[in-house]
Amino acid sequence: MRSKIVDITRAADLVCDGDTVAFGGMTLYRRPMAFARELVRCGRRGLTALTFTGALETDLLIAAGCVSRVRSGYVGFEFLGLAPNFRQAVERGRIEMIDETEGTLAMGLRATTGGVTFMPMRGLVGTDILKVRRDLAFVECPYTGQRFVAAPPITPNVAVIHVQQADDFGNAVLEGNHAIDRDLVRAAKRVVITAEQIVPNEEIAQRRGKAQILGIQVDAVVHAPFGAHPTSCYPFYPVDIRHLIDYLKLAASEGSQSYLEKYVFGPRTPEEYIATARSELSPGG
Amino acid sequence: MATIDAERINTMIVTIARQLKDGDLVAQGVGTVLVTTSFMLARLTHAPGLTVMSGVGNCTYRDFVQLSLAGYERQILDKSIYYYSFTELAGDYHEVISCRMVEFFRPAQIDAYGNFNCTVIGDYNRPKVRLPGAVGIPDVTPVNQSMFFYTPTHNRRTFVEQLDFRSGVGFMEGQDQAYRDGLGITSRGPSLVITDLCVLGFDSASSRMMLKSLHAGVTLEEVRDSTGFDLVVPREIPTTEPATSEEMRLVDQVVDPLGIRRLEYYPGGPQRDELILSILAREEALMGA
Repeated sequence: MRSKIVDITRAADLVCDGDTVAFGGMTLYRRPMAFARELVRCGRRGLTALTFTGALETDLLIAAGCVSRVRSGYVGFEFLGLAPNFRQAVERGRIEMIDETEGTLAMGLRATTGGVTFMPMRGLVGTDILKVRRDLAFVECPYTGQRFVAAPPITPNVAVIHVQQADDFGNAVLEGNHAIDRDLVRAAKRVVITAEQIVPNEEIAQRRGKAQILGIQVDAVVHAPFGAHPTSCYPFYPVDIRHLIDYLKLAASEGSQSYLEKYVFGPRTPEEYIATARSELSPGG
Repeated sequence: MATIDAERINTMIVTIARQLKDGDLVAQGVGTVLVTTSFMLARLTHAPGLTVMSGVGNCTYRDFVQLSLAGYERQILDKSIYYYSFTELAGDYHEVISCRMVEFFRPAQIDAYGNFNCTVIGDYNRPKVRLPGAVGIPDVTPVNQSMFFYTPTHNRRTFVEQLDFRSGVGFMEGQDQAYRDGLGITSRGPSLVITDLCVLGFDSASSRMMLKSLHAGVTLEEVRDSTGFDLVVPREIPTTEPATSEEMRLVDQVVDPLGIRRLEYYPGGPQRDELILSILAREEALMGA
């Protein structure tokens, strides 16, 4: 079987301008940041950033002009504050925001993976989500006549997930804080895995917990140590709060161009990024 | 900038903790360090069997976990008993709430009927402030039976006559439960609103927000001045039971010695960044890094 391991630039070729790209992870935890930076370097345009919760990867791509639409239930930096470029872009009408909810995301992914054209869901009734999401229709149950919102399928063009370990076929270990990653892998047309560590297939098979992502659903694997930085990758390194505070300060005071110069366009390789950016990390790769 | 009254915040913390029952399942939202303090206080006192479903870690934990910043994800993941996918939690929410699943929400805006906003300030299409988003709030508020609100900023920007956007449904415009059931809103509505000034509930007759108790030193006039709509006010207004010295000892020394809970009410800006950096430095020193 041919190895799926490629370098990050080759993996980024799987993303075309205008694609809906789903980024795995959760707020400040295990985001595919190296891949997001690569998309900026490659100059992708017109992307839709789809996340369960979005933070730096979304904000950075907006700052770089790569994203024209966001689909998410939450874009923000948790206790660190609002996402500055996201916020400004929406307030000035420069990007389109599609307010998803946990329900529309969960049931939309289930519709895709279930091969059906909608998934009935509870919730949303009585809220203004139904006013701004004119694309959402209602369905009447054929058995009881009860009305539900019909969540449409969500099928990203590409899902990119940062994982702790992967083998060269794309079987991957997720150590915790799964968010919606496993469903993104199953629903997306193409899947990129970036991994802290590449391990032999036997090592994954011997784990009691096995794999959480099946290689057969993966298109490309990238070895990316510290590939989630400055977000965390449990248990290897925690969230780099100082780096994020610097990002937010720079974004507020002079826009994000200086950050992009220093951390995205400056470093010629992921290794150079790590040398520039890391503050206190334990080795994971 | 209004000064932060520590005693009022402490009253909030213990009041939130007292809403939890032993054996409850409680949802932990992202960035909600104040209520997490309350959850852990409850865990150490009257609710040792409390189970937390953490949105921060997408995990379920029953163990006591001290508040921390950079180290927090690792702590809860290490101590958790179960990992869930959020698709599972959101898709199977109906089953989850068949156990009493308590949720605390912090509204950016709330109206007299407990409908609230976490999405935008101003017009949705060209907002003055684009907030992060409502996440699961539109999904859970129509169906959950155990919902509470909290805010450390009880003022007229928060308590408004008219919401800019309704992210979460409360009692709508005061319609009865039969009407709500007809729409699929099976929730009996939110229970209490716990603020830095007082505790409020919802009048059973009108479904409008009703004052239940004033924190020590807070006057009815101050609450009225801070609320942008008419409150239902009972004839007698008790004083909210304040924090005991033992409760505050537990909070200060065991639950949150780094004072991370302050991040929920310190206003943004350089002062807040300095606070975070100083907490981080102390956390690293404690871990012997």
